[in-house]
Amino acid sequence: MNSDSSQMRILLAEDDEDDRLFFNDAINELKMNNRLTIFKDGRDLMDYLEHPETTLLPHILFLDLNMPCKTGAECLKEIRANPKFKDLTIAIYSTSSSDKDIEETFIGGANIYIKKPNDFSKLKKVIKDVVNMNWQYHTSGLNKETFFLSI
Amino acid sequence: MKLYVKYDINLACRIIVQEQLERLGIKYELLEFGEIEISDSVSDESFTELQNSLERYGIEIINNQKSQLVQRIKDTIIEMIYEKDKLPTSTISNYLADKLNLSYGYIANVFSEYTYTSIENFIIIQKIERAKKLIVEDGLTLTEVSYKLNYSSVAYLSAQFKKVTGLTPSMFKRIVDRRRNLNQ
Amino acid sequence: MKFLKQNRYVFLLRIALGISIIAIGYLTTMFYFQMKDLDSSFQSIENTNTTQNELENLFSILKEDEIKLSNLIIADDIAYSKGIFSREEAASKIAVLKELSIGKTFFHQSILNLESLINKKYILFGEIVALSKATPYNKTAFEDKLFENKRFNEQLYTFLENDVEPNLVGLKLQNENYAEKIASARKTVFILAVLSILIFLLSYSKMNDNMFILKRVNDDLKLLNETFNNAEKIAGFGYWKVNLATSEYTFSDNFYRLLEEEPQHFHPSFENFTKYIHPDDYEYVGKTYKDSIEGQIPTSILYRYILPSGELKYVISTANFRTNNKGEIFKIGVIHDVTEQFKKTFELEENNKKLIAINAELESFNNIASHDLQEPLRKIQMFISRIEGNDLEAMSESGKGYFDKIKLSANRMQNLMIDLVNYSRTIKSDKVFTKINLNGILEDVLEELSVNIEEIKAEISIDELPEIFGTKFQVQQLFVNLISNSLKYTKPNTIPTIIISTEDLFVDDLKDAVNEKSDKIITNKDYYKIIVSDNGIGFNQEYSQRIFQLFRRLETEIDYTGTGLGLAICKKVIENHNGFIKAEGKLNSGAKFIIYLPKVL
Repeated sequence: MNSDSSQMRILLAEDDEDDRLFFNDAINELKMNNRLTIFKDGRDLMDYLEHPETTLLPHILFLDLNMPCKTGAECLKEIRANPKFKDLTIAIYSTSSSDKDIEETFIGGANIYIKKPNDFSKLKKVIKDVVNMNWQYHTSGLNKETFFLSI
Repeated sequence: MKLYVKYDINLACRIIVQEQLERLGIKYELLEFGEIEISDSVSDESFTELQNSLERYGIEIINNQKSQLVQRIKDTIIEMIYEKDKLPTSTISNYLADKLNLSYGYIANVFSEYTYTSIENFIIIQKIERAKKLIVEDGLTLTEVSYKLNYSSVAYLSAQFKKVTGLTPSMFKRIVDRRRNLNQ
Repeated sequence: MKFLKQNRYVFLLRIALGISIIAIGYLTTMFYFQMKDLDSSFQSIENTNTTQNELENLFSILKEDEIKLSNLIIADDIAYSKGIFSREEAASKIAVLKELSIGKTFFHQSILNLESLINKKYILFGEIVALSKATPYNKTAFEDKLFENKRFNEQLYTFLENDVEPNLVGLKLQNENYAEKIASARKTVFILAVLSILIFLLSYSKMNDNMFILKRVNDDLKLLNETFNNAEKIAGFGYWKVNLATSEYTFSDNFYRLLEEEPQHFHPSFENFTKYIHPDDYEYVGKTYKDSIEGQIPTSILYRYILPSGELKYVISTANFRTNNKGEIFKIGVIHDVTEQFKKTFELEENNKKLIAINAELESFNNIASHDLQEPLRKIQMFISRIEGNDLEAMSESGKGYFDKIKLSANRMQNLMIDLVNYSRTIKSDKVFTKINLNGILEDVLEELSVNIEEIKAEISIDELPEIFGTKFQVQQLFVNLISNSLKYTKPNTIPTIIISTEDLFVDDLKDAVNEKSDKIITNKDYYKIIVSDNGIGFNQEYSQRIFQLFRRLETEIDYTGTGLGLAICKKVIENHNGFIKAEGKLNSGAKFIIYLPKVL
């Protein structure tokens, strides 16, 4: 993962400025080889993903649920409806919800559900674990369909 | 005049490798992160030629011994978890050391160097993966699964399942079932 | 109230009456004939007496005449001769006797003979007189005549004795029955009188009895009527009926009172009544009434009165059809004033709407609490952690101290928010209960807490638990809280053991049980008793009720994390399920939480 050719392409769709800052700082401090692309709302995200010039698919998408214009749930639905993104790992990144809501997002097609942590080190750990777990799924032939992770 | 060029190194390298492999008529599959799957039946000659032609571009075939070891470790572990119906009672470390005829310390180091995760963690992930399969595909109860995977109790299995996935096994099953119903 | 038992009694009475009439008729007829008989007997006696009298008179006349003759002879006076003898008198007497003896053949014959004898006698008298006066006085002829007279007298008297008298006596004998007849007539009358008196007495007593019963029944009916009238008044309903054939209406007193009028204020009729119906309801009432009469369908309708005072009343009119024993069909109905209930229902509905609105507000508050408040709190905590990571070193000592306090407060707020959200979830009780398998729920609970359980290597044993009715997530929360507590408040150096079991109820089990919402009377049969017990640090029994209070924590708990909401949530869940909870504890000997849940809803 640390070699140049194996850069982790990470997308983040988050409307809150502070949360974007946190995420960015966390990723930077983790010193993983990655490329982080940040979107401010769902529409920008979908525009990018569906753009014909976007050939290199991201590895993981961190998707906030409460976004204006297009909510995370809508994005999730659209992405999963498109077979092009079959291998895209989607991590819902949200404030805490009930077990029932979490279940619903998994059923909606998400792989990972992250409750936004309230501590920076926790955030770093979460991102690291998520990326790590995702990479395991990539390299060890695990079944993406039963890939569910709730943090 | 000046030309301003932008490189996409990754793309360039990939294409080079692809071209070389095709030239040598080697069947391949491009994986992620600089991994290429080629059939084992490539002759040493072709292999050496591939290595040489790639070197010209500064593309190095990594010391595959270690990566092969890692692969073997993975395979052994997976075999241990899947093919034997009950896991061996001796500790994992002893088992691996015996099977691979190397010290466990060395095995562990190489493994984490290449996979960025420990053997223990890998084993746990694989076990939980199998548990998932048993629950979803074979419809086994938790008791049966915990027995098959050599957990000391259902509670221990649940605990580990929850630790790894963040979900309880019943929640997991429910999600999978509902996903299935949706897709039908 | 008992009614007269008519039938059998009347039948007997009728028979008795029949018999009495026949008896009296018979006796009367008998008496009549007896009296007739007596009458003729009396006539006969009179006749006989008169006859006797006349006979005596006759013979006294004869005797007188005899004496007169003697006198004449002695006196030798012609002056006495003319008309001296009462021959006419005697003749009239004989005529009378002849008349009197009509029908008595023998006697009549005797009288006729007597007549001829007496005629002969007077002839003799005449002859004697003539001879006594004859010139030449013929002494011999005269004495012969006298002697003939004497002999004739003897003959006469013999005749009288042997012929007339016996006949007379015979007649007299016939008349002796008279006394007997009178006696039997007397008897008959006596019996008749007695019988009549008896019948009269019986009838009188019966009539008296009947009168008495009738009076009593009448009194009862009167009372009933009064009660009914009062009941009408008290209950606020009026009664009406209409004879379908004659269209004659009857309205009860209270019917009028319901219309705020004096009883019988107007003549009972449909037209007069409709004046009081609310104009909007008039058509509906009229149509329903007409339809029901046509098909004889019972009705029950709600409509409004507008009274002369302007007051609005809601009434329900229920009517049905009845046929009386004369075959006449009546429609009878009851009108009930339901204005109060209507108002109350209306009020209730208004309150309901208010409650729904309040509930909606509470829900939105809950959303604010759970999401909108948590967001800034999370940010605060994130920035705290950033400062901690980077700039804490550069802070002054006091700054660091303050910063620590900020961090603690923020964390506490975090925990409180989580618990508050849980608590508000339990307040909002759906009251939609489903069947719950408790063992199934506990499996999920153990899964949820599995990490924790594994960590401290707790041993948990669960009995076979009953099925109950409830809300799944709340019951799950209840057990999560209880078991979390047991996992939290463990004794060091002891393997934590948690036992979930069920027991039968003891007599005074629910004595100290807590449920502030419930005012039900507790009967032991109705509840399941489930116990969650552990071997942790326990608590002082004196606080067994206090621990269920919101935000209440005991000194023993200070060292442990917690917000004090867990048991309050448990109590709320129990209350939502109409159950009871109580706690038993001993310091350092563990805690026991006993849950009572109703067996059926």
